Amino acid sequence: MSPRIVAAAFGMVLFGATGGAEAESRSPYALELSTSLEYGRMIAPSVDPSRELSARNGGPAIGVAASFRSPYFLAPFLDVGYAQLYTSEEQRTLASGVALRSQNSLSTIWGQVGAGGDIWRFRLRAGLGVYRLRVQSEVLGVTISPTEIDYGYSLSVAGFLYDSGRLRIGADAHLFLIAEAETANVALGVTVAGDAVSW
Amino acid sequence: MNSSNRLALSLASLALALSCGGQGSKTARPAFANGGLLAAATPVPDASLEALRGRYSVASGQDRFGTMVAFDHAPDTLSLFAAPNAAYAVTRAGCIDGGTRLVLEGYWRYATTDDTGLVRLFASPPSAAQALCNGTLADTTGLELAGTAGVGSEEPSEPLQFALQSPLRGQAATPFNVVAHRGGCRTSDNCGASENSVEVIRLAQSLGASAVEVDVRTTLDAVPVLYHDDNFNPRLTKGVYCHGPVSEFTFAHVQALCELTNGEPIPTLDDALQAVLDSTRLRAVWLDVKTVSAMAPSIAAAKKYTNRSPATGRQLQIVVGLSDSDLLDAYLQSPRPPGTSCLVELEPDDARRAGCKVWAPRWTRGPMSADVRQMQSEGYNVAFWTLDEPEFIDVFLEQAHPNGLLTNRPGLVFQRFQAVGVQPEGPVQ
Repeated sequence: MSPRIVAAAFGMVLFGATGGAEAESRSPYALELSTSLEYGRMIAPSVDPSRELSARNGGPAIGVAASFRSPYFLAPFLDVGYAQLYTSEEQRTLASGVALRSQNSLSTIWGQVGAGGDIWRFRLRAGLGVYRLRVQSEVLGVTISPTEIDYGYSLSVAGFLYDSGRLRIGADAHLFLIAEAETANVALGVTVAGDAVSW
Repeated sequence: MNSSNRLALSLASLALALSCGGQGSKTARPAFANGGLLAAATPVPDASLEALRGRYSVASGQDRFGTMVAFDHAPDTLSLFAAPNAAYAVTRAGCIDGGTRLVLEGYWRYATTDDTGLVRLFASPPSAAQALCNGTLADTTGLELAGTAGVGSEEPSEPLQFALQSPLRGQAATPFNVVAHRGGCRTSDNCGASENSVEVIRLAQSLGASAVEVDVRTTLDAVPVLYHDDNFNPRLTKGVYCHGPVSEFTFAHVQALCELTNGEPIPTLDDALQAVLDSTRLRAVWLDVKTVSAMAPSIAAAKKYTNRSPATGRQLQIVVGLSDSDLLDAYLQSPRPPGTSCLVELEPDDARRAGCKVWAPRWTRGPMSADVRQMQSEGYNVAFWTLDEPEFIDVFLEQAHPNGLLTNRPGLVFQRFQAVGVQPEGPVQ
């Protein structure tokens, strides 16, 4: 998804594009489900491009969240997701002169809890959770897939272009920082949210 | 800039801000512009650097280095060790002006604060300097080192003056060992190289060590490597793909994907022990075996390099460290060639049972003077781990009289032993 399209979507939110009923028609209590489809870019750690034969920074990310909405400002949520972080083919020349070529990818899945709030057409969420970081690497014909569990934080903001009261569609930006791995990713995409149960 | 771009930029900035600060990159050591006076200097005979070893009183520079410093000679360097802020200086020597003046140039550093700067010293009186350059100095009476220190890369201007008072202590048949933790210092100590690297092992003697402790674990294909933690992580390594348990990486993957924080490769145990033999005059190596799988290769490497050491003109002691009962059992069940040495961190009886030469209790157990005396009387060496604070170092030196201390600040332990240490009892190391 082009960042330009997402930026345009945020612009439409800001400048008043509307659709369906207004948010005021929502039920005061709801169990809301949402999903987001994004495209991300790893912003930390820095990479050494001199060793890369080819590389793709970032990739698709998908998240699914359930949140409890009430008349109170903060809505707790539970979120699980996946993001592709980095993929590359590299060659490192050792002190011995031997060149080691590797094909690698880094991805993560996460589960986190947090709280969010809606302000007009915008939704801000902050979460804390565990991230399972997965490396896949092939060197000299041997493939390894080590994983580790780290804790991390996330921050996301969504702007809804369409809001029928029960269903909302918009654009979102999502940042997560896997603290123990000092790895951070920012992603832009679309999000769809709807009330599964409301009263 | 529209709002969404601004938002994305803000989020990215936040992430970058949060991600900074953990890289431990403060290892820069200042150097004199254009090589300083040493650029045009001739080498100093090794015997002359030996003659400069000793305990010195401080006539000028007490604010920075206290009242007593010790100088010691490592291959290619002469280092100063002081107590305030665990200060030390690492210098190289050269003769200038046709061999009539001996100059020492290098850097000083506070181990506790990362403050650093340049230092330049000259040997005096002139007759002694000329004799040092000629390698003919017979009498060190009245020998002084005087010059200046500075801050950062600025040309040094603070006056320094050190007067030789006496030879170093602990040079007898049972020398006291300053054992440098993780090969020389921890990565977080910013001593100039990453922990458990070949580079920090080469640096260890200049930092005050006479022995090093290194951590050994094995890769997926059973290659013993030096690395402390179970997992690769940004505290010790860098590399986008350098995450996960060490035991799940082949050594080829380690080489391809990981490097230590300051850019050094992760060494094999063979690389490290070969460097000890080739590049240092260290007396001993403590292999802190981290996993049962690393026990057999550690025993084999200890034997191999102990046997090789006489060819380098010394008898290197390599001890296999046993820190828990699983490792002790693994050691006892492993085939052990004659002459294998071990070190036990558990109880004295465990050391006796395993036939280890060294008992190494944790310092938090206290000096245990009676136990130390008993073990030394039975022929064991005793070394405590890990002591970095001068008040505690002094208590252990004065009360326990150990054969060695493991430390992240080898220069401080070296200086404190020279100030308050007592010649240890026990067998010849």
